[in-house]
Amino acid sequence: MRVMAQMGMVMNLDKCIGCHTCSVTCKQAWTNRAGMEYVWFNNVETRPGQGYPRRYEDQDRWYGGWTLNRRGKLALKAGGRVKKLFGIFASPVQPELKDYYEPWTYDYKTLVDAPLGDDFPVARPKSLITGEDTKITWSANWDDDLGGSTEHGHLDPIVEKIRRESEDKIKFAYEQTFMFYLPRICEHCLNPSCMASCPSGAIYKRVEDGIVLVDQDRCRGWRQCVTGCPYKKIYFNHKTGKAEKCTFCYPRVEVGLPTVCSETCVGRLRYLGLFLYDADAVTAAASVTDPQDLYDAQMDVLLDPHDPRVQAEARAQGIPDDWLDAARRSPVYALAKVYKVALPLHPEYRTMPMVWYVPPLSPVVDLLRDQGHDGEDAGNLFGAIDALRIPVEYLAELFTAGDTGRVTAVLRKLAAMRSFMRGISMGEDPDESIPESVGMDGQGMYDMYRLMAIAKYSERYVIPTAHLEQAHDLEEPGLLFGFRRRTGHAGLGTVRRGERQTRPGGRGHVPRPAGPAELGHHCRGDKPAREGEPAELGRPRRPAGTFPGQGPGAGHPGRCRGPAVNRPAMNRRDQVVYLAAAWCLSYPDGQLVGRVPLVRAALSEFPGALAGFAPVLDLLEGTPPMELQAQYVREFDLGRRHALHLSYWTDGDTRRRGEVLGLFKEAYRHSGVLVDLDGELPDYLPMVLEFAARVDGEAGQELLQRYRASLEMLRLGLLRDNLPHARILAAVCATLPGKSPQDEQEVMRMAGYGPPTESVGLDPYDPRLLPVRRS
Amino acid sequence: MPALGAALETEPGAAVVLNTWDTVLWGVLPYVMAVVLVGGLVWRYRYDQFGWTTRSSQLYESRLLRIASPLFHFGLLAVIAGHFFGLVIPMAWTAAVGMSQEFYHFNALLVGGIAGVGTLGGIVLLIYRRRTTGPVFMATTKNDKTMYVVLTAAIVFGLWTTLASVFEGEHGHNYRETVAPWFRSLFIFQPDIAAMAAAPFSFHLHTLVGMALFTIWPFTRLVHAFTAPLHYLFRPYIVYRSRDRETKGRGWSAVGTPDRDTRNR
Amino acid sequence: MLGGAADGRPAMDTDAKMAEAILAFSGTTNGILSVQGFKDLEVRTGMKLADLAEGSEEKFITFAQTQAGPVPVITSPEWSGSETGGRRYAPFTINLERLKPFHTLTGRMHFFLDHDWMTDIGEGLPIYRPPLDMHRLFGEPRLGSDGAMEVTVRYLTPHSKWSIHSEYQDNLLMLSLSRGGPTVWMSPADADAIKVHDNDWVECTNVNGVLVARAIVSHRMPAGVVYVHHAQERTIDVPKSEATGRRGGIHNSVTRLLVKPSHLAGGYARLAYAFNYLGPTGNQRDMVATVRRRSQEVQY
Repeated sequence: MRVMAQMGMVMNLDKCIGCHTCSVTCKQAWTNRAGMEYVWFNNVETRPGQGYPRRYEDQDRWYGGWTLNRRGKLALKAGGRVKKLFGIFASPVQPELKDYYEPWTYDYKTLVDAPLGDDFPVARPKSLITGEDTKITWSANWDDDLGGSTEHGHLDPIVEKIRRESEDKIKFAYEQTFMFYLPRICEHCLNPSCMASCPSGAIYKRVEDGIVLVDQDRCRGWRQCVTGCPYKKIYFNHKTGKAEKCTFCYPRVEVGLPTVCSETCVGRLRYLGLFLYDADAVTAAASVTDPQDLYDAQMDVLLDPHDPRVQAEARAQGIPDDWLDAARRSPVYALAKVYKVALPLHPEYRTMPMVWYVPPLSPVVDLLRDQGHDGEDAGNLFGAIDALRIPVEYLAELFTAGDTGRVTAVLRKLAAMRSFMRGISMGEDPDESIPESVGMDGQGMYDMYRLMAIAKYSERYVIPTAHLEQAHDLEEPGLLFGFRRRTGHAGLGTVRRGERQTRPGGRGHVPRPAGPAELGHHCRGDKPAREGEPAELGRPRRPAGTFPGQGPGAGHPGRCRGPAVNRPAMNRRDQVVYLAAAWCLSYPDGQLVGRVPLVRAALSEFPGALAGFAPVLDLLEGTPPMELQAQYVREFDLGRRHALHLSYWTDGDTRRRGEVLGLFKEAYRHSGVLVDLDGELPDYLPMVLEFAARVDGEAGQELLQRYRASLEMLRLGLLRDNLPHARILAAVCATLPGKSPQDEQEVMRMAGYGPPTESVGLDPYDPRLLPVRRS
Repeated sequence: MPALGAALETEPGAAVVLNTWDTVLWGVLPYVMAVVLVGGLVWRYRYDQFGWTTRSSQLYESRLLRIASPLFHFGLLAVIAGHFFGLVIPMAWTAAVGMSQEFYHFNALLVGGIAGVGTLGGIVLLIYRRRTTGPVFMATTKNDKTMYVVLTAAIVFGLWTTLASVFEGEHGHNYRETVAPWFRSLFIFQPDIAAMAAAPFSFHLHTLVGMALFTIWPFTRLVHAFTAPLHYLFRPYIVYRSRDRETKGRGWSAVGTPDRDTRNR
Repeated sequence: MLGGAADGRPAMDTDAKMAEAILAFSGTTNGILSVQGFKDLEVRTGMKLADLAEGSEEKFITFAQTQAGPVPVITSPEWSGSETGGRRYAPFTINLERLKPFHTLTGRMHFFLDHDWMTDIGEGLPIYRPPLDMHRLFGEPRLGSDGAMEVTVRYLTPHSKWSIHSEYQDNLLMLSLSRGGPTVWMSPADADAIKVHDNDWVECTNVNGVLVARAIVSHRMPAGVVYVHHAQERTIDVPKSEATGRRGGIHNSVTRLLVKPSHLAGGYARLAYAFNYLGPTGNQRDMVATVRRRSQEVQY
């Protein structure tokens, strides 16, 4: 048994309203670029319908997935290795663009620059492939809400199959109308046929979390993977000539954030969590003869995280304890294996998919209601399951390789849950006979209800963070997410990642439960200063923290261990001032308040240094914690009057801000350190101050001076609102060259801004901000 | 044409007057080409992994492609095999196994001719498809166009040498006595310039265009040929990788085709 | 700056500045105004209301912010719901929870109207009224096919599943996920009557105007009814119409105001008129229009 972990997803189709928010946000995050115009990593299909690409489920045409050969062994449906190599020059069954759709845009420009005419202008459709005018004849979601059903509905492969057995089963008539939505992403299978089809071996499954990715360096554009995937969820980028696919938003998942599609799902129907699976058992499970046994086989591959044997084996394989804890709390495990209401999509493809679905209940056919029965009465409901609007056969073809009994069992559980909870909501005693009739007990049914109906964000997305040895290898250029280090320190007030809000500052966001935990909280306990040496403050003792790279016991600041660059020694006084400022401007949690004596002591060593800090230190010591924290949140988080983000003052909410923030991060990297942003933006003033104090004084001061105008504006803002922190800012500015200006006008002049000029476009228009520079 | 060939014909072993031009073409240029080819491939493999792809246009048009591409590629494989036989295997070896030159020549012409015609037919069809299918043409860069010219020229001139010897019949030139020894001699760094100089013009032309092709090869999309996925035959189907793997610094260059939306037209 | 009568006044010479001015005038985007508005309302109604906007005084939604993405608005007295504290908008919450009087004569919700006009027409209590017979009343064609490849149907304008009134129906991604332009949903029976296939261009006309759109034929539509969803953008993929030679209109082009006599009852000056609108809650949606297949070659 080889225990491995995988991130899985469950989608509750009862809740999907077909709004396509998931599709649009995924598109904007990942595929909004040339070459990928026709690609939707996440798409939502109306069923019955042909899907996207059209009729992708017809494996007699597309040869996707696996099959069993004559000897009962797994083989790729499209052929083995030799056959694939022979067909490599023109992939025999690869879908063409018209099977997806020809992407188009509109001539928007003409709306503003058309010449005077007899009628006002209109933007006509233009092909994104040829650039010419085009007629729109198909789209990524043409049969949305059953559009075109009379002409195309019969082309749904499942409808076709069911009608072969009985013509009456699915009628496209008004009285028998049914539909539901099926959102789809890559299944990140345990036995991916896309990977097996790739001749160059560019597709791989990650050991740590099972996410299947395409190595963009190794892909050679043979495009066998497109044929190989039976779900058609791997696409060919026609501009770069490489294959691309859903990445499960791995940069987000690695830091504990849900995928973009999950995060933005309006219906809150998605669940994310860990599965533990036995990697050695996958092939055997996928090879069981009867397709209807594949579900049970896959259930056996998914392991019980509460089983001590599994836990021991998992530890032996190197799965960390917090991951095992996450696996035990996993909502997808609960839905799939405990409550058994989630089912895999098309298990008969033998790829062992890992994105499962809870089938939708649908209204009872009107006949029952018209006969005067209460459709939701427990007794009636079970009888009605077989007469639901959505034919059980249709759901069975999707989820259980045709086994209607299994689907019915799930629907009965869901119906029982409704009936059970309805009784409780009406004030009756829980009727245990209802859960018993579906093989559950009352508590279990209630827990299932909680998970399915009212679970909070942190219960729906249980995502452990990545553990990294060489974290710097993972930093993707341009992304702002920091990575946790695998050091022992948990950081004070570390919140569970599921709750973390990562948009700090600026827009009136929800206050953080705790501040950037690693900032400066290194020194454990007070250590008396040695003779002649400055206080503990100036000498880091351990490598943990926001800016590691300082080896343990590094003595003088000039002698940093780690990525070795000779840094000129910063003035010790400035160092202490910066560090004290960084702490005093941070969120005042208990640990910070505990350090106040330390800060006082350190500052006292330099004449005049304490004065600027005294009011804040007094405030920290003298105010009850809740009030202190509330004040802080009110002054620094909920408004923008005292934004602690340096580039907010200069670049506001414009598009340039992103680039500017990237430059901050680059400055940190240039000094050879790993930045654990801990959810903060890189221009967060306490972070910059700590960078200057602890890592690279010269670079840090250069940054501060570059944003001197922001510091001064902040100082003036604090002064205007009579906040004691103003003097801290003054102390920081005092360490920088040049006199501090007296008012905002002087700040503008100092920063080189001329008189206001007319500018249309992306100016921040906030009169308290500095005007955006034209560069 | 045959007359021209005859005029340049010399008896094997006869003294050929060599000039600097011959030395440059057959003694220097091949090594320059080799350096550029090998060095270029190494450079490309190290720094442009992202650009190393077939840039397949099958997504746009597949009806013509499914005929033209296998025709071209399989034809090409046969042509390569033929070149191997003709250039690398010495006459002495074939004679030792009892194969007469006539036998060899007849088969070379027949199989080689078919292969050449197939390859030419394939590339012509591919170029026709590329030029007349809007999206495919829009995805074609200047680099591609240059490459096509050189590639097609190499194929055409190569066929010409084959056809020429059909017309010459028994008086046809035996390149296994001129071009092949020169080719083999390059590998031991003692280029037999005289041998090559004695070959007729058609072979010179084909060889030069071929060398040009190999010189530009690392800088075109043709590099995809060097990662023909033969290892697929031996690779397990399922590949795992650990996330902590180090990634090397990459060089990513722009693809070179315009984006298709109306803004940039 | 420019000299003249406008000196010293805010400049509104560019479109962006105009947008800023509009944003500045609304309590939903200018916190100062909403707080002021609620404080005024407190004086008028005697109920505690200003806390709904407190804390938003310094909030100011700028044009740049709306360009970057949708921005949640400030709770403001013009609207009857509250989004304060992150709750979602629901109408009449302020009336119900804070006891702000309803905008009726009595300040309360009215269920029964004791007015002799209402009694005369039998509408003292809310009651079902069938659609008007537009043929007898206004000379529109009879419902149903007339044998001339036209079919007259009831024309309804529901909101599509993605939109209220403005929802970026010119947004390329949303259009790529639908049909890419204005559409009219029809039943198979009506489509067959005029030989229309899915995605064919059709025109809907009546005495009020003309709409040019592509048909979506689906069995989920009942016969005799077409849906033309609200606010499909007229700037996207709307060709010239055959009926008039001008560009086709939007869903409202075929609607017309029907003044209901009972709306005039009371003479309380509550009727508001705007172009093709009579409020509150104008009645112009239950229309009849004639649908015809048109030439599939369209001119823009």
